[in-house]
Amino acid sequence: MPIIVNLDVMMAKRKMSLNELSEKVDITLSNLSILKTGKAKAIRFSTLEAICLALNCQPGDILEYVSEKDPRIFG
Amino acid sequence: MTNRTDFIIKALHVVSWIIFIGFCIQTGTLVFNYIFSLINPAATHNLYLGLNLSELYRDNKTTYTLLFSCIAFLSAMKAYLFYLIIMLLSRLDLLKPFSLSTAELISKVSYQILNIGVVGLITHQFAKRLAQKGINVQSAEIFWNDSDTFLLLAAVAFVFAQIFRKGIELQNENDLTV
Repeated sequence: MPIIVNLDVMMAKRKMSLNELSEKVDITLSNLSILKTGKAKAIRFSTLEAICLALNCQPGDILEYVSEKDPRIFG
Repeated sequence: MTNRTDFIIKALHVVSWIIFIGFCIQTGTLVFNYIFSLINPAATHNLYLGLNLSELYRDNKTTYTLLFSCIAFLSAMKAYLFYLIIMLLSRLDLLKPFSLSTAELISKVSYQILNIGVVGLITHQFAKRLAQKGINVQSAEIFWNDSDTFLLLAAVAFVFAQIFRKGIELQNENDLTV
């Protein structure tokens, strides 16, 4: 999918663990893992808002559009 | 899931088992009586619950075998249909109903109903031809009388199977929405 989730990058920048984020955002670890690994098909605005609040960032810092021709997606 | 729905599902399960066993017995009896009728032709007067194919037997043994095969095959297919329904009811989880195995079973059920309807119609046409020749096979009509109903049911089951597949897609999407 051309939408890349950079959650792990933002978490590393803020030095926040998955458990900590899970507690702050109040979503399960498995759902966070789905989001982090790029398996998610959709993200609710409420979830995005909570993540942005916890990581003190903008939605654009977490989500990124990359063209299908970009080697970052298809190697 | 309410207690009432749970009760209805369990009742349907029991009823399906009873019908399945009934059709198995019917198929077994038909096959046994066919073999017996070849040894003792007098048995053709009452093969199964008043099924009288003595005229056909006297006229042509091959046609008799063919019609009897159709009747036994229809009975066996109905038994298999109820076996599929039993499987469907035992695997059905009303808390999370949209699973791939359930969808596949519903598709199989719809195709099986269609097969029964088609074989029933073919047998009906075959019996009509025999009647035109003056051979009385009216006593066997109960075996294919419901073929129109099965065709209609097949269409309904097929539409239901397609809707169910869409339901699986929606559930998958919902499961992957964070």
